[in-house]
Amino acid sequence: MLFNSFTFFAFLIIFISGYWFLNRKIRLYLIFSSSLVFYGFWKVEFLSLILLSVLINYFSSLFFEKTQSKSKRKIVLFFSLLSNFGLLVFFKYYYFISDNINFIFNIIGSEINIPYYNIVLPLGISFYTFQSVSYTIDVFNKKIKAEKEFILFSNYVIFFPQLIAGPILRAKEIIWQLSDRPKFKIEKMYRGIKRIVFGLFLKVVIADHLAPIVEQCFLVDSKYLSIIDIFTMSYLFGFQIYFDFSAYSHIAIGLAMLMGIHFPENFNFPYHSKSPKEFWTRWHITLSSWVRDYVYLPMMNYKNLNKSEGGIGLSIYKNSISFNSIIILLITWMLMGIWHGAHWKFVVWGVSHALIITFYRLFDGIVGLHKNHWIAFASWFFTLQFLMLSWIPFRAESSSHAFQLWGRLINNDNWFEFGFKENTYLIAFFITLTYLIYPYLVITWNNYTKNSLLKNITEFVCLFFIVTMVLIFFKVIKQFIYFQF
Amino acid sequence: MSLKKEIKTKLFFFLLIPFFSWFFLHTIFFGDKQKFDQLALGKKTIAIKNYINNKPINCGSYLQLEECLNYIKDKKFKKRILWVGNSQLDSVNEGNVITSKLASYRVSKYFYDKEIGVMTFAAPNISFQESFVVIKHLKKKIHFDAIILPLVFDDTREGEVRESFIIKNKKTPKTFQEISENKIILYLDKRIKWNKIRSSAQGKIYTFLYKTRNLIFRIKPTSTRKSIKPIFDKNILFLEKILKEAKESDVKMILYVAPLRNDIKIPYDKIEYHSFIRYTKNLSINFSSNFYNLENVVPKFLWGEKAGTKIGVDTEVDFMHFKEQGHAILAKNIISILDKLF
Repeated sequence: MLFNSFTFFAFLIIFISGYWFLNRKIRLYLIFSSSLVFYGFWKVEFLSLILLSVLINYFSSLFFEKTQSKSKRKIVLFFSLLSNFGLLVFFKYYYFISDNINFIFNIIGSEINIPYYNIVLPLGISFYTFQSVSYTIDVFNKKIKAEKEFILFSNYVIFFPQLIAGPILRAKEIIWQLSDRPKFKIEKMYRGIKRIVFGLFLKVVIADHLAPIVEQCFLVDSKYLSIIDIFTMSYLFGFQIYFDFSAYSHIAIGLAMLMGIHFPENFNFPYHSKSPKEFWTRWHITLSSWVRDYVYLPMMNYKNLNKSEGGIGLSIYKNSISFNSIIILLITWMLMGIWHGAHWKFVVWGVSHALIITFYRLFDGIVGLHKNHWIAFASWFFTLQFLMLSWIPFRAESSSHAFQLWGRLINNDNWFEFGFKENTYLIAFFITLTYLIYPYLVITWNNYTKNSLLKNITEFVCLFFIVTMVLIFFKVIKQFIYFQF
Repeated sequence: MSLKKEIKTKLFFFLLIPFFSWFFLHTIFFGDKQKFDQLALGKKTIAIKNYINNKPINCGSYLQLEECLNYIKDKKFKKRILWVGNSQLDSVNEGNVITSKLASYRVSKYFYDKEIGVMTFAAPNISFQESFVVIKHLKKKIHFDAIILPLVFDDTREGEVRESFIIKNKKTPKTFQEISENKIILYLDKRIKWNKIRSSAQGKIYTFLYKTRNLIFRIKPTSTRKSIKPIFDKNILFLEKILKEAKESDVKMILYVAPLRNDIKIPYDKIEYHSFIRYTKNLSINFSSNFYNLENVVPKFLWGEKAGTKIGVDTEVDFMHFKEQGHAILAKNIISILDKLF
């Protein structure tokens, strides 16, 4: 079910009414059945897959709880991870792997061809796999106890507000909230509805309007594009994906609030980051925290932080640059890239981030990024350019298309010739400016207005505007970008 | 007021906002019909529909197409001609919806007795890419012996095919989501005119943004519009495709440079505009098409003004649409061209 649909709102009203009036047991079954309905509205046949994933992780974690034998525990962990990632690899990476193997065989002149099957990518598989795996590993490492109540554990995996595109939650943060319903607070309800409406605004008013413009930009043959064009299209896509994905997170967090549940934040003005490292503490925070805890820190021999906050950017690994650390960084970001999609272009995107993080680490060591305001400002400015340009492989047709577009930055005789309609540049400029000054405007306004009546009136005028815009532009069945991951 | 009470009050009012908001939209936009892509018309320039034997001879969207096809499919016609162009074809400056006669009507009427059917498809700012889509679609429905295509430099700046040009096969809803969503929207449309009011409000917002942009950047109808290379090249590529397919299927192509107001500075880069004319002329020679330059056929007193495209400006000079006598002149020229060909 899509959040931006009438069906979902009808579903939500029924669900919330039941949620606050039912006793614990029935409430847990309500969450379970509603989550299945939510998912089944897309494709009923994939319900079995998600339930299989739940069963694998439930029973393997129970096994860890009961068994002390290290070898047996390791074998079960191995099979549990194999089945979790096996499903993910099969459904998400089968084409990618077979394409590459066939390509290699073709190069060496072999006749072997791995057949293609019509495989549909199950929605949210990357998200619920990571969430389940984190639970299994935590139980294995005795960081948390295995949840014996099947319905409660299932709800942790299939909880509908975050099932399809995150945030990626940790068991210790969420299971207790699902088990003991937090106290009803009217303030949370109010904030929750506001977050949902704001998320819808970002999606239907901003992201969905940027989508066709971005599409037109990326359809233009790269030979026509000037440097200004490359920056414009990168900025536009950078904002499209940000508004689209953060909209989903706002709605998910808002929905959880309606149930009195706290979800970790997933975004925090990522384009205000002063370095790529800081970016990863502000962008898709729950994914980067997951990668930090289950990929990066174990490889660096650091202790898992076991929380879905903070992202990758904590000072504990502000280590000196070594060959080893660079390789680990590369591997981490390659995995981060390939998680986003079964295509080399995502690997290119990940590697570009790893390289620039390394560069910034070196630079930080020599100059000191926060030495003074000017260096900090320059660091933010160059980080922003890099971040935006790094989105090119994400949106390009292929990695070679991405390189062609990047190539126009250095191999270009028409620096300032326009390849798009004038409005494209105006929109890119306007949206960048608005985004950059928005938090400062809000802070200034809040500091300036001491009068609570004036504050309330302003709030209601803004909400009236937002709701009206959502009503006007509400477009049903327009998918969120992150559904494809 | 305690915090809890304040929040309760806020929540109460917040939940009322959608209803207030919809009431507001309903009050303002119910019955409003202006479309964003017809913004350049209005006031002094109006779109007109003409009929022969109670059948429309010009149409502007696929929704109206069947009616126009009814006319052209008449078995009486031994030859059929399609005229595809922008709003110049179906709009009249200082016209009258009931009495004004378009160039396309005059041409159709003239050839009706000669058993030649002429139908027109006109859409605002139609690009060659969109013309290609329209021609391709119509060719599947009926064979045309000739196609008339005006060459409008301004329209080579339009790079995308609008949704209204894409024929979508009615897809059967497959998922539960699609089924339920369709039902809810159908219900809302019936009860509260959900889509009608929203599309009207969307049009108003786009218009406001467009006019604000023009005001801030001082964009006027006379402002020079530079050509955009990739969009221009793409359009030329589609013009070539149209000519190539016409030649292959033995359809006569008539290309003409559309009349342009020339008593004031034209809104194009002169070098680009003239090179466009030269280039299209060469193309037409290469594909054995018929090329005519009708750029100056409509005298200056037959051009007028259109609705303003800037906040606070009521009317502006119109470069594209002329008065009814202008249509008569254009029709005369087209008739004389077609008379030579048939």
